[in-house]
Amino acid sequence: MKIEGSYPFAAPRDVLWPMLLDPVTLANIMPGCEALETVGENQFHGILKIKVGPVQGKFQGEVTLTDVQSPRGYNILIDGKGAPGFVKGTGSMRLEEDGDMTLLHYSGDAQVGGRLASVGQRLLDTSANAIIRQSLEGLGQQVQARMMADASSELGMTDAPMPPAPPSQAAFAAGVAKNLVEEYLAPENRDSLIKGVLGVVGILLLVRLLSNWWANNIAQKVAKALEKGGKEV
Amino acid sequence: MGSYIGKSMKRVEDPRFIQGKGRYVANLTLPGMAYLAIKRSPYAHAKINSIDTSAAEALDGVLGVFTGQDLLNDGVGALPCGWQVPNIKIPVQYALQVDKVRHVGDRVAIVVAESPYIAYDALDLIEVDYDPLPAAIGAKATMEAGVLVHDEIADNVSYTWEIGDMAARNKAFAEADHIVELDLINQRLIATAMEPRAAVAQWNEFTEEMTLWTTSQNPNLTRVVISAFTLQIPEHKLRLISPDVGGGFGSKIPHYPEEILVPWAARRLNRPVKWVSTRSEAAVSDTQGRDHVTKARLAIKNDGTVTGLDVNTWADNGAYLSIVAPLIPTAFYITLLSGLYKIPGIYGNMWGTLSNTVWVDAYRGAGRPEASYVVERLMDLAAQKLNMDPIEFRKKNLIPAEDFPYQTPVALQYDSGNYQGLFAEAEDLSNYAQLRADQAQARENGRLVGIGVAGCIEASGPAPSAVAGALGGVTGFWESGSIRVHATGKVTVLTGAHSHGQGHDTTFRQIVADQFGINPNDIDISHGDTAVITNGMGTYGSRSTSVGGSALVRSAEKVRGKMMKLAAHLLEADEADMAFDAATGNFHVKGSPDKAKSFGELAFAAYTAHNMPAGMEPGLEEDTYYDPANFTYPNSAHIAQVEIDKETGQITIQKYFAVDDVGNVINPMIVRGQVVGGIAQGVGQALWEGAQYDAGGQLVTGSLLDYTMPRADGFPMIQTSRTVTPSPHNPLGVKGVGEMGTIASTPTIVNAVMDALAPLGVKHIDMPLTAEKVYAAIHAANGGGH
Repeated sequence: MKIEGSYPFAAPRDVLWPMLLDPVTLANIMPGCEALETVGENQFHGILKIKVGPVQGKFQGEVTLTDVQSPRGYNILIDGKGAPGFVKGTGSMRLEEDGDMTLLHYSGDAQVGGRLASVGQRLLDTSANAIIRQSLEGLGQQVQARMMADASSELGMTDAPMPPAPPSQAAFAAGVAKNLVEEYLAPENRDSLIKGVLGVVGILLLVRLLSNWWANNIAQKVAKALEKGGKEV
Repeated sequence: MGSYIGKSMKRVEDPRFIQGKGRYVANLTLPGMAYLAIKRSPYAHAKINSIDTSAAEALDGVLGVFTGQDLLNDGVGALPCGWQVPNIKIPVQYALQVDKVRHVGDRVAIVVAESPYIAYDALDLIEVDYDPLPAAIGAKATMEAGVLVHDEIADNVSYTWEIGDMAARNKAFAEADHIVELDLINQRLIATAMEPRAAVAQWNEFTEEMTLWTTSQNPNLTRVVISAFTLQIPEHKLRLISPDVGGGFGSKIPHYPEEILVPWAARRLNRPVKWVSTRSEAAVSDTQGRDHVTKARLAIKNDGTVTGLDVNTWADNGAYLSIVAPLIPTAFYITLLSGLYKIPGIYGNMWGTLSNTVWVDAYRGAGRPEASYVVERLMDLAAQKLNMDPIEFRKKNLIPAEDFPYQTPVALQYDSGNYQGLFAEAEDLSNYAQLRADQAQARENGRLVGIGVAGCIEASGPAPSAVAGALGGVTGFWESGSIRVHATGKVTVLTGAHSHGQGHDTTFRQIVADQFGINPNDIDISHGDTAVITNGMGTYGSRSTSVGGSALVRSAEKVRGKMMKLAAHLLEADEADMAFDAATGNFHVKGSPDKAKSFGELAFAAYTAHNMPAGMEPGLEEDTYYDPANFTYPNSAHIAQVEIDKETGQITIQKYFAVDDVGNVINPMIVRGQVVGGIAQGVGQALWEGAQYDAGGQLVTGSLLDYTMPRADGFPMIQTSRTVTPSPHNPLGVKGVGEMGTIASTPTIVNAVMDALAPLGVKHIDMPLTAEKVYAAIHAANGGGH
C-alpha cells in the first residue's frame, strides 16, 4: 500500500515542527490512537484502535523517526501488529515553506498482512487516507488553536482556547464514507451526494450528543450503505 | 411402472434444501460439545521462534490450547500426497506447523473452548513470535525467487511431467506455414462453496471408536487416509459421516488438517468437538484452483489444417501438495491437449512448482478447463490468422466420427464422439449465420459485438484403476454399489459416490427403478456414512453416474439373476424359458405373462426361504466394485454473443448457446441444471474471479468484497441442447456432465470478448476480463485517446 499527499497549514514551519515531534499532540490528532509514549530518542510506542470494513482491533507497535532534520522533516519506520494482522512501513514527512503557509508532504509504503489485508483490502487505502487526512485536519485545528493562544497571550488574555478533541468514531466513519464516495461516484454526481451525506452525518453528530452509542451505530450503517450503494453505481 | 430414465423427475432432495432443513455438519450439536478455533499465520513465510499460549490458556472457558509439538508428541503423522508422479519431491506437511509457516492462513495452534466466541477470543491471546521471511510467489516466478518454500526442494520445483510425440511435433513446426504463439495465464480461483467446511468429532473412550462428521466429497477415501497416515485410528474404529454437503467443486476432496485436529482434540479432551470454517478462513485454507502460466504454439498449414501443438506450463501447487494435486496439471491436463481435433504433433511439458500461497488442487474441471482454454484460444488466433471463420476452421480439424475410438498423441483413447454433429447442432441452435450477419451490422454502427465459439473435450469418470496406478495414483478409482432388497420389496441402495449437489438421490433412484420395474419411491439411496458404505471412492471428475451408477446396474443385474432363478423354481419352469418384464417388474414364463412372479413376491420368498432352489442362499442383496474400462469423453460446442461498452469496458453477455454431448441422459432437468451452473462457474473465471496475492504473499482477495463471484444478473437465459453419442463401455452409455459447462464456457466467453475487440487489433487479455482491463485495452488500441 502506497500513500502520498500534501496538506497546507496556515502557520509558519517553526510552529508546526515541534508539534510533529510531540507524542501528546500526535496522539490527540490521530483517530483511534489510544496511547503514544516516548520510549527513547525519536522512538515511540503506540496503541492504535482501527476499524477497516469488517476488520477491527488494536495494533501495538513501535514508531521510529530517523534522519530528523529540524525543521525540514524526518523519515518514519512503523512496525506494528495486533489481532487483525500486521503493518510494516516506511515513510517520510517534509515541511516546505510557502510564504506564510507551510506545506506538509508525506509519502509512505506499507506492507499490510493478515486478516486486515485479506478482508479489508478494498477499504484499506480509503481508510488509511481517511486516517491521515483527519489527523492532518486535526493538526490544522491544533495549529490554529496554538496560533490563537499565542496571539491571546500576546494580547494579555489568559483564557486560551482548548485544543480540539481527536475525531470520534462517528466522524471517522463519515470520513471513510466521504472517501468512498469520491472513489466510486462520477464527479458530476459527487457533490450532491456528499452534501447529502454530510448533512446526514451532521445530524448524526448532533444526535451523538444525546446518545453516543446510537450515533456510532447509524454512522457505521451509513458508511456501509454508501459502500454498497457506491459499488452498484 | 414405466421407464424413469430420460424423465425430468423432480429432485427428491430439494424439499429439504429449499426449506432450510438440510442436514449439514454445522447444524450438528452434541451434548457437552466444545468448540475449536485455529490460530493461523498472518505471514506468507516466516520462521516460528516461539508460541506463548499461557494467556489463552488462562482465559475463562478455555479447555485447552495446543500446538504442533503436542501433535508430534502424540505421534500424529504428516498429511500424505496420493498422486506420485515419477521423481516427485513431496514436501512434509503437518496439521500444525512447528518450525515455519509457509502461507497466510497456515495453521500454528488450536484453542478448544466452551463456546466458539471464547475460542476466537483466546486466539488473539496466543503470542506467536515470528521471523518474517521473503515469500516465493508466482507459478513460474517462484523458480527464480531465491527463496525456498521447503529447504529440501530445489528451485521450488516439486515435479515435472511431459508427454506427447516429440518427433511429430518437431516435424509439424518445421513444416508449418504459420506458427501461432500465445503466452497466457490461467489465473488462480477460490472455490467458494456455499457451505464452508466443518467438522464435528466424538470419541467413545470405552469402545475407542471415533466418529467424525466432515464436509467431504469422499468420506471413505478420507477415512483410509486418516487411518493409514495421519491419526492412525484403526479403520474399523473410525466412522466418517458426510451428510448433506453444500457444494464441493473439488475443494472438499482433500484430507484436511482440520480433519486431524478436531478428532485429535475430541480424544484428548474426551469431549465432542466442533469446528466450522469462517468465510475468511476458507479463503486461506480451502484448496484453490487453476494457477497456470503457459507458453503455447500451434503449427498450421495454409489450408487451415492444424499439424502441431507445443505447450509449456508452470503450475503453482501452493505451499504443500494436497491429496491429488499433482494429478491435476499432469494426467488431467496435458493428456487433454488434443481437444476435439486430429493434431498429429502434440507435445506438452510442465513444471509443478511450490510457492508461499494456499495449496491448489482440483477445482471444477480440474486440469481439463486449463487444457481446453489453451487449445481453444489458439484455435481462435489461428483462424484469425488465416482469415477463416472460427467454426469453419474448427470443423476442418475435428476428429471424424468414423475414427472412433480415437487414439490421441497424448495417451488418451477417446471412446466415442460425433463432433461434426455437435457443431451442426450448435450452429443450428444459435442460428450462427444470422449471429454473424447481425455482428457485421453492429460493427458498421461502431458497436463492439463479439461472437465466441469453443469446442471442448473432457476425460470424465476417473478412472480405470490400472491406468490411474500407472500415472501415479496411489489408489484405484473403482466405485462400489450395493443393492439390498428388503423382504417387503423395498430397496436400499448403497453407493460409494457422494452427493453434494449433484442430485444422486434422484438420478440413482431412476436408474435402479428401471432395473427392477419398480416405483422410485420404493427405493432409498444411502451415501456418505462409512458405517453403512464399507468402501467407496466418492464424487469428483464427473464420475458418479458413469462409475457409481454402473456399479448399481451391475448389482441390479446380479439381484435380477437370483430373482430369475427363484422365479423359475417357484413357477416350476426352466430358467432358460423365463423373461423379465421391466415395465411391470414381473418375472414370467416367456409367452405367458400370467405365469409370473412379481418383484415383491420374489423379495418376500427370498427372505421366508421356505422354498428355495437347491443350493441357493436366502436373502436378496448384492455388491459390486465397478472398475471402468476407460474414461468417458463428454464434449461440447458453445457459442456466445457479447457486447462491450466502449466507454466503460463493461461486458454484457447477450446470448449463450450450449450444445453438450454427455451420452445417454438419465434426468434431463438435472443435466441442464449442471450444464447451466457449470457455465456460470466458468464465466466467473472468464470475467470476474481471480485470487490475487501481493508480492509479500498476502491474499488481497480474501473476502467476497474483493473476490467477485458470478451472479444471476450477469447472464442471459442460457439455451441448451444436446447430441447423444453413448459411451460404448459402460452399461448406461453415460458420460460425465458435472464439469462440462465450466470447461467450455471460459474459452467461449474469452473468445467472444476477443472477437469483439478484434477490429481494434487486440489479440489477448488475461482473465478475468474485468471492465478495467478491457477499457485499458480499448484505450491503448485507440492510441491512448478516445
